[in-house]
Amino acid sequence: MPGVYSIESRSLTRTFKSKGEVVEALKEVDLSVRQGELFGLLGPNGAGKTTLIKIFTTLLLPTSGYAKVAGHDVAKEVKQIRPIINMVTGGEHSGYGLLTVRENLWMFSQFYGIPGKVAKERIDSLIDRMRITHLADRKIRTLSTGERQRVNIIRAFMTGPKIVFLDEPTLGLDVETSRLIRRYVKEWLEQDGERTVLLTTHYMMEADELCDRIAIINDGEIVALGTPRELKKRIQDETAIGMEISPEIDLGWLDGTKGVMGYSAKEEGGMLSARVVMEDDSAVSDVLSGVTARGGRIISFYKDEPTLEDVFVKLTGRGLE
Amino acid sequence: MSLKSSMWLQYQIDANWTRPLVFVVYNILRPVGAALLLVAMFYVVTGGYMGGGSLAYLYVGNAFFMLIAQTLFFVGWVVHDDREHYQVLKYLYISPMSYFKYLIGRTAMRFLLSGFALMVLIVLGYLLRIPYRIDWLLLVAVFLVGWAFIVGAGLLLSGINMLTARHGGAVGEALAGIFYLLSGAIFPLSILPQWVRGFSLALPSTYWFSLVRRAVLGAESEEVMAQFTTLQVVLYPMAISMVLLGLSYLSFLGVDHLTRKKGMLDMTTTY
Amino acid sequence: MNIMLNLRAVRGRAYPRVIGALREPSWMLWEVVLPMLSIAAFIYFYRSLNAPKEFEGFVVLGGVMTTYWLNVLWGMASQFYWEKETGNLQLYLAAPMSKMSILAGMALGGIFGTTVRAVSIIFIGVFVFEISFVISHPFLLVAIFMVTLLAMYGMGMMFASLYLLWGREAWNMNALFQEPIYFITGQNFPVKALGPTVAMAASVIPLTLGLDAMRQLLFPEAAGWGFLDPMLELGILCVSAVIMLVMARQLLAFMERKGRETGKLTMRWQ
Repeated sequence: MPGVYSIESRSLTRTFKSKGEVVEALKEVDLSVRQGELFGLLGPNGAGKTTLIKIFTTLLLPTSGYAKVAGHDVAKEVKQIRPIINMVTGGEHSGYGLLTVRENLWMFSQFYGIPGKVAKERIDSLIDRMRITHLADRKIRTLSTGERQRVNIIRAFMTGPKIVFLDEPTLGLDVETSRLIRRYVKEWLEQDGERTVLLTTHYMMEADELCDRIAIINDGEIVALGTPRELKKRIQDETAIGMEISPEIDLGWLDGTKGVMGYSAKEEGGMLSARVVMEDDSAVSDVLSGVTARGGRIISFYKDEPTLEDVFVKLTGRGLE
Repeated sequence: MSLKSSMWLQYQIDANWTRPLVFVVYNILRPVGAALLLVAMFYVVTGGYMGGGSLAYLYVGNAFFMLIAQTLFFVGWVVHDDREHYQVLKYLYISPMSYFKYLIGRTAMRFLLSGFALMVLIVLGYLLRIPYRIDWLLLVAVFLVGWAFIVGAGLLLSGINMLTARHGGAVGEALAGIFYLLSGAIFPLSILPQWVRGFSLALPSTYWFSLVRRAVLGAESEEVMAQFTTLQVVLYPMAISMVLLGLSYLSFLGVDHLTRKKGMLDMTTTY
Repeated sequence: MNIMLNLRAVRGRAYPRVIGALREPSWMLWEVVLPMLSIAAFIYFYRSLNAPKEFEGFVVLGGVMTTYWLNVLWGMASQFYWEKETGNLQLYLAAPMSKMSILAGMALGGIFGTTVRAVSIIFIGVFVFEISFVISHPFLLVAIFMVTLLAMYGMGMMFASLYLLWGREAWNMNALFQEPIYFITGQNFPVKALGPTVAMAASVIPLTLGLDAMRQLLFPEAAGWGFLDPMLELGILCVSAVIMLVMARQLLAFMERKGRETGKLTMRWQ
């Protein structure tokens, strides 16, 4: 499909009505994902990532604008789209608890019309690849979250899709399973230049490590788009500092501090781990003295290389997690 | 969570999908349908004659059976609904309240709500000229004893459900079917084979239906049960219900251990 | 339409129904043994009224057909709603096969499990309650049975979409479609007794004419109680089956479109 984007949207808007209230989940989203790309959508919970995925996977209609997958309109050409896509959602509980892993996968393969023998070969190969051979004949209801997600990955990839949508696929998974899934997704893309992956995540490390390009989405709007390097370059003139503070204090006052563009903070081992993005070095002393004045003791302090999260903080004024 | 809260929760879950009036209509149509089915069977066999002791017997028995059927139908569903639909069983379990007590509360509310349907059926009975001779004191006993044994049986069923897969809505109805068949609800016990009657007399529901007839029709026309005094038909089911409640509690403890041992508190068994 | 794709999808969805039902041993107790109880109660009820023997046969036949009706309600009509709640529906919707093949798979798998139950009811009827059936027109009987099932499951497919649109009313609709339906379709008695107007109106539900026709064929001594001629009933059932299936297809498309517009098909507890 030369000249055609694998995934594309123009002025895509989606609103939901609930009890007389109108919520704008997506606002004029323009997106173009090229064939062979691993494209990331990075954003916090409620940013509109899942809504976007639902539209691309033909589960939801746009309110206005259009979305296309492999050149086909998601609103009108579902028959052309569905055979070539598949999806995985984080925390997904698909399948039937009374069936085994193999039986569940076989069942889903039938919904894509895969001949029995071919389906069996693909299932066996992917079961092996996902390292769950020992679980193949166990009932799916007995699996752990991580084991279940490996099965979901197999479910999506065994049907031979050209475009895969991964919606927070590593949500709540352990390091090993997350790593296994990331590695597989990367390899799968490399095997065939016609394949495309759209991944949503709120793990910036995942986006940084995997994605060719990333769109940062916040409150239903794409606020930045580029390669991880390009995005990080956007804040090369700014200063990012990291610090560990004990005891935990409220950092709300940073919002009104001159020179501070945004911050993120999370509790780690009884301490507060914070990152602050500033216009330049001049605000550093105000931030440090502010912490001390509010009873916080600075355990460690470092000036850091900019991360995707810093980009996000700069653009939205808040952290991802 | 107190008993009152779980009763309130039951009402909310049962009724919050619609307006109260529609909810009442839904609750009434099913029992009315069941009553009409029996009346139609009676009508066909008698060649259109609508009266006599048999009609009163079956109509009143069937009307009060609705309390059992509707409550047990719900109980057959609640554990699976908590576990697989709303997936809250594990959270209810780890909360400080007793899940046993929670089930008592929800079952009790379902029993109360079934009272609407019963009232409608009683009123409809006037149209069929059912010769009511209501003893109000005995009627109170009917509800107290009925509640005790239905809750006891329901809890026993809930315990079993915690160990089984979800098989649609037939589970509670099936248990209600035992009471329907063996308790002389719509036909005299003497119709049953001799060897089955022994089981019938061990069921609290048999005495309860006898109590219902005494309370609503003024006398017991059923030959086997007429041998028992009114006091006996109050005390027997009460005593059996106490045993049932004790047994359900004990079995619940066993089930509690088994479900945790086998990790069945959050299983989903849909197919 | 890709026929192989859809046939495979039918097979895929029927599989868990067949395997799942057989795999869980508690199924035998709930689905086979205990439902016999209400059938036995109705038989004893007729005996208490000294009803002719064929009336007991009506109860067995009613019990057999009602098992399928229950499967239509619980295994078909409310199933899409249940699939939504468990998270499978969005995967079905995003897959390329016709959603009708998913419903057909559920129906075939459900018919398998239900037939085990229905056969056990017939066995109990024949061996315990000594009911005798006269099979003088086997082909017509089988044809009526099959077409009745087709129309009933077609109706279930229709309900599947409607229930999904009605949301939480699903369970309540199922309750509503039991005893009141048993009454107006003449589950245990000849529907003719309700008068021609009610019987005609009840014929919208395929169970009514299916039961009436089979009653006439299996119990010739009660032929006088027949509502319409069995051949005519077969004809009406055929038309009804086609209408149900066409409407099911239309409603499915409507439901899917509506769901995509509102976004509620992929949200749980809505």
